[in-house]
Amino acid sequence: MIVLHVHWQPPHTPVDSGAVLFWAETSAVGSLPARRGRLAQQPKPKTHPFCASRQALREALAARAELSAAVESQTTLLLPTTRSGPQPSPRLAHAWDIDDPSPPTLAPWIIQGWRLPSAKALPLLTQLPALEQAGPLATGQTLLGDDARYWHAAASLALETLAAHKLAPLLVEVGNGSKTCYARWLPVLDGAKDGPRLALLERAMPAICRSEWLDGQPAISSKAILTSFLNNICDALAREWGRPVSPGSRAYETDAARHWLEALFAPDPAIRAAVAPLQSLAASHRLWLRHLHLAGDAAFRIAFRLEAPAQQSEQKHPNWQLHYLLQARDDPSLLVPADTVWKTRGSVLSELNHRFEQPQEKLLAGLGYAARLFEPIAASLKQKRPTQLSLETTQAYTFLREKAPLLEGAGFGLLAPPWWNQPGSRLGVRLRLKSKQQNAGMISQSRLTMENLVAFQWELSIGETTLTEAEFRALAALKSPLVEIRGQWVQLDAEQIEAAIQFWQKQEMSGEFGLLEAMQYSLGGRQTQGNLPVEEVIAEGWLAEWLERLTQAGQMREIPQPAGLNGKLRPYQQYGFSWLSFFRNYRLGACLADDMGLGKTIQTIALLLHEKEMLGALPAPTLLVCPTSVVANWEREVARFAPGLSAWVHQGANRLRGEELLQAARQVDLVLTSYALVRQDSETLQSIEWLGVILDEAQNIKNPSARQTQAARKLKSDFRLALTGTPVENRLSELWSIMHFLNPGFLGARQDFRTDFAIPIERYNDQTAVQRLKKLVSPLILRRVKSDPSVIQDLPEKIETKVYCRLTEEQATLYEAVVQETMAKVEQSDEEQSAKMQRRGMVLSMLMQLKQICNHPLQYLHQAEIGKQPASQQEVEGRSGKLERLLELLEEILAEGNRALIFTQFAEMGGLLASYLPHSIGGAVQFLHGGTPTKQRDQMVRRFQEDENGPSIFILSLKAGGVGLNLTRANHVFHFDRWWSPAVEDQATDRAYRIGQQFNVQVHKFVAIGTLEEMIDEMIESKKGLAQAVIGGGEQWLTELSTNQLREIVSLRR
Amino acid sequence: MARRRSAYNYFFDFEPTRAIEVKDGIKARSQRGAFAKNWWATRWIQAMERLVDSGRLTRGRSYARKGQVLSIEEKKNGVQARVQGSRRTPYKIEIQVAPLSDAQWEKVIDALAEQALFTALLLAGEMPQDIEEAFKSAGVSLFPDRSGDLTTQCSCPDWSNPCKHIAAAHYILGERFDEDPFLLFRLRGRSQEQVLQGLRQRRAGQSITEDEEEEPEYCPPLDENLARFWDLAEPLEAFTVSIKAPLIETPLLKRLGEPNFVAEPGLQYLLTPAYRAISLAAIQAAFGETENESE
Repeated sequence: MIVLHVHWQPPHTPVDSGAVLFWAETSAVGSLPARRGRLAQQPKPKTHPFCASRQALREALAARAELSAAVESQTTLLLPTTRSGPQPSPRLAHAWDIDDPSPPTLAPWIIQGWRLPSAKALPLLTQLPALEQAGPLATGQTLLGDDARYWHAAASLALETLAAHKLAPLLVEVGNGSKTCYARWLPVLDGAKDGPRLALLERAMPAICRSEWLDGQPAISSKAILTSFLNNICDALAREWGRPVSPGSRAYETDAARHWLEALFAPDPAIRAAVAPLQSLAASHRLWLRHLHLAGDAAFRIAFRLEAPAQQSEQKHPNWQLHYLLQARDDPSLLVPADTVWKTRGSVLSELNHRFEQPQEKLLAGLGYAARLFEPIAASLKQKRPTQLSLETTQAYTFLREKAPLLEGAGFGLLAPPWWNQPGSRLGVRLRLKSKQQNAGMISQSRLTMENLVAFQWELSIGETTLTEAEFRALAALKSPLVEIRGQWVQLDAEQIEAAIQFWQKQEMSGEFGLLEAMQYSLGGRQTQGNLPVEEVIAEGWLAEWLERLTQAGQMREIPQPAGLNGKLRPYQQYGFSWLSFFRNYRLGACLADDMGLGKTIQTIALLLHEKEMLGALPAPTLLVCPTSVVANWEREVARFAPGLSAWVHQGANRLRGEELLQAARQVDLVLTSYALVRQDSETLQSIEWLGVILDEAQNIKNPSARQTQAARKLKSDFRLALTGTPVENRLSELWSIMHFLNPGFLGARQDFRTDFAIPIERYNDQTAVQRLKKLVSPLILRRVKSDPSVIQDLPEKIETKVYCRLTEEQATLYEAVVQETMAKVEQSDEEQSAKMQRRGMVLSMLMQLKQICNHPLQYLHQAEIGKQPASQQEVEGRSGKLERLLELLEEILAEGNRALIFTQFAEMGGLLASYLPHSIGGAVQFLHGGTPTKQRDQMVRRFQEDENGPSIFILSLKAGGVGLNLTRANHVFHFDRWWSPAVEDQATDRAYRIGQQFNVQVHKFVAIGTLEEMIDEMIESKKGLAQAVIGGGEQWLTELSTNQLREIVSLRR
Repeated sequence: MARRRSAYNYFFDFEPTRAIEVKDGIKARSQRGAFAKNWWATRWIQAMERLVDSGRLTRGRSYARKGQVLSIEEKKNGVQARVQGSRRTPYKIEIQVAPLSDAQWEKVIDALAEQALFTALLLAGEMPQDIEEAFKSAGVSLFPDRSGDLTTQCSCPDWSNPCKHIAAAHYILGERFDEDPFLLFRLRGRSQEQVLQGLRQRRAGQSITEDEEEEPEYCPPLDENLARFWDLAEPLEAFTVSIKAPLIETPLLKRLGEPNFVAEPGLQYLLTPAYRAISLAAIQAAFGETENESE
């Protein structure tokens, strides 16, 4: 794991434009070099001990940026330092022993990284958030430091400035006496929102951004650093992007101004012109720039408020009033009318704790300047104390439409009438929706095709008013851009009128479409229709009620749980099942995204069972697709909760193909298979008309162009359902892909979705886009988390689940070999009475070996003993079903910021996990076993419990960690292998589930399918055959079993 | 163009003097047509043009456009310039304008205080159209129109005053007026600030303290809060941007106005394509994807 840092290095010479240094801290440093003694008073710069290598950093960045322009670079930063060395930044999860109580002080550290010149650094800065969006399972996860986030925000402000043409071409004189002149682009940020935004950026800057070691000189202010960043990055980019169309050849005369213009686009900003003309040019330029800041000062700006005529008057030329005001910059609601300004005595006007210095003069200066942009203002200045200006309607429109943006751009405040540019004061369209059917029940019962279900009708509207074509033409004929209709002013500009004419000509004014489209319009998924805004969607009859139910959480009508369900649904599960059933009835794809452990499986099973009970028999099978590792889990859950549902597992090398598979599928209610096989056996699976297709762990189709995603999309079915435990709403490309599977077209084309939602939200934190998307998708996603109040009272404080894990082929082969070999010996020993002790030894040894095999072949082969060279990643991966499942679960747990304990009986297995997990999940892990010294053990516990950034995963050997410790920060407990004694396991579980635990604890007990683990687990659960007490004693009882009994328990059931 | 001369008139005819070419002089920005853009600069040039014969005016204009004026500097109540003529040493030129007396200025400022427009435009860097009215009501004139208001001198041998060198300097000065109307005030003895100060006093009825010194920027020491050294000092959730092309193109150039120091077709025409390209590239950078991102 690395934490990426971004450091701005201001330019040192006028021809330079600064650079961005990318560097990172890494947790992949085994231990920190030991340091002793005191911190020196004036320490010398030393190499940072856990700064990521340039190679590692290049790999992390290369996914997002072109690094060919990057140069190797280093710099010295002042960092908080204790005797142990520099403190790691907060997001770096590490497993080092930093146990230094001394308060940190600043000391210089040399860090290394890649340096990119301003213009080249921008693409990378822009894309920083995407670096983090790779899932946590990606090897070597990258997190962003706050400094990286900060510069990302600042870079997006630079982009906004460049996009908005807010740049002034500058001529800068540097030096005394014989000055050199440079051509520069200056970003001008003085719009209404700019002041507060710049102030926020200045305040928010993390101290690390200012920490360049200047050898004794005080740090630079955040304002200076921010300004230097914005100025230089805008200049560098404008220079580069404008170069291809620079005026170079189009300027007719070879004079100083021409050289200036050339230098604005040249890599070298120095202006090559003779001294005298250049100085004359510089003088002129200086005077020209006077007009840059005339709209106010740091405390206030001049503002204009346009008021519409009070009443629709009979008079032909209603008078609009443009009022002059002062407006406080930090509190835009504080307005001082010009009249008050003129009455002010003295040079300071005080109003509500605000001081306005020389308000009259500044008001005058602003008005004088505004008069250049909007001439009618000049006329009002003939008075001694002007306060306002009367305008005619056309003038008012010109002011609002053309001049106000100019004035606003020049830094003036603008208070337009409240209706201006608002829905309701423009031409728009209104959509009326009506169901063709009499009531909802008819539809859901008959399950007719839903394609043409809703009748629609378009209307042209202004606010509340509906316009007929004749009415519209009459309005357009007025040729007035502002018209008062029933007491309401509305805008009628030329483009809107054109769009409305097009609308009449081209739009199909009424017709029919499906429920999905009706939903799309009413949830704001389509905001324009033929260039006119969709102002309102009105649904009538049951459709209105239906849409209402859809959009309000908790409004689904609950249905009783199916009679054949083995077990009782908790209240929130019953709601979830009813919710699923609602969408299934309308053939809309829905996504159940409940937190892990809340029972998505049982809710899904209930849905199928309900369907079967309603219809008597299911018309077609349902296909359930899940990761390979959980197919068996599903099989067992279905058998357990719904014995009435028949299931067929389509998996393994010997699976059925073609016609045979079709035959088998026809016989059952449910076919279970994996994503891999949906792709491999796509032809057969796609030829079946499924009743439903259910995707479990639907994040598996997060990549829309992956072949398994495309194969899943091609499956034909009456309904579709996606299950996922990850907060799908926050991962936008995943969300699109899942929604596209569920309801094709609902979120629009992928590219449109990226530009409308994904990029604005992920890169620029666009809250409007967030709200729009939320409104659109939230009816189709049901997500409850454990802390949800609607869930919490139903939930036991401790939830136990069995995690059924398959064996890999290698594991199965090893397992069978051990069983065969040992059982043969046991049979032999049965014949010799004297060998009783020997038999016992053989049985115990076999049990041990089988458990090791169930864990991981490496453990059985003793290649993972502590002290040995840790196994390589390839040696570990793909060989154990349990490990695979553990990784999947941990990914989900870590993604939600949760913490986990992993118990194993075997120190060797613990060691294997401890060396493997950090690489695969990209986070720090700590491991406590019998050999851990007490002092270190206490540290581990403290770090886990108290350190916000300590490791999220704590592996413990059952013997060393099973008692005495308090580890309540964990809310997930794994039992990787089994003790066969519920009491011992509970005791271990209670490390997390005890006083001080504020969350529900989820316990995952791993069971290898078909092995003795499953057999014994069943025996314990059923409590038949063997008394709990007998089993509770450990494994001794197994040695007492007859050979046949023993064979029954240990044989692998495939 | 060779002229045929007879031996007879050889003595009387002479080659017109030819000015030494200057490389780095101050070239007039207007290379054809009228010299000034604003009305006040035009007034100033017209005042001079009335006094000079057309031949000298033509040569003066061409001097100004070729860059024969080497320097031009403001002095008290006047302007000093150096113009390269046919002799090796450039000619020295002085143009002086008679200052108004304090009493005259007070009257002028009284008149200016009557309309907000005067102050507003002066503050915004413009010379109000009606400003002469205000001067007239005080019984004086802003532009030199009486004999003795304007005196000129040149070190050249030409007997005529104004000569072409003075005319050249005058033209260049006219362009200066274009961008700095207050040069006229200064030549008449008051700076812009002095005039505005007077107006301020009349509005407020009292004298006004000078602008306060800017407060030195507060810069917290780096180790102010080491516990939060790496963190954003304030959350950035509220920080949003909206990256899009402007409603109205080149708002800043429009705000600043077309400068007179860029020759036709003008700065806005020359830079607009670049502004568009920059905007497009910025939007592309903001919303485009790298190849790697398309999974």
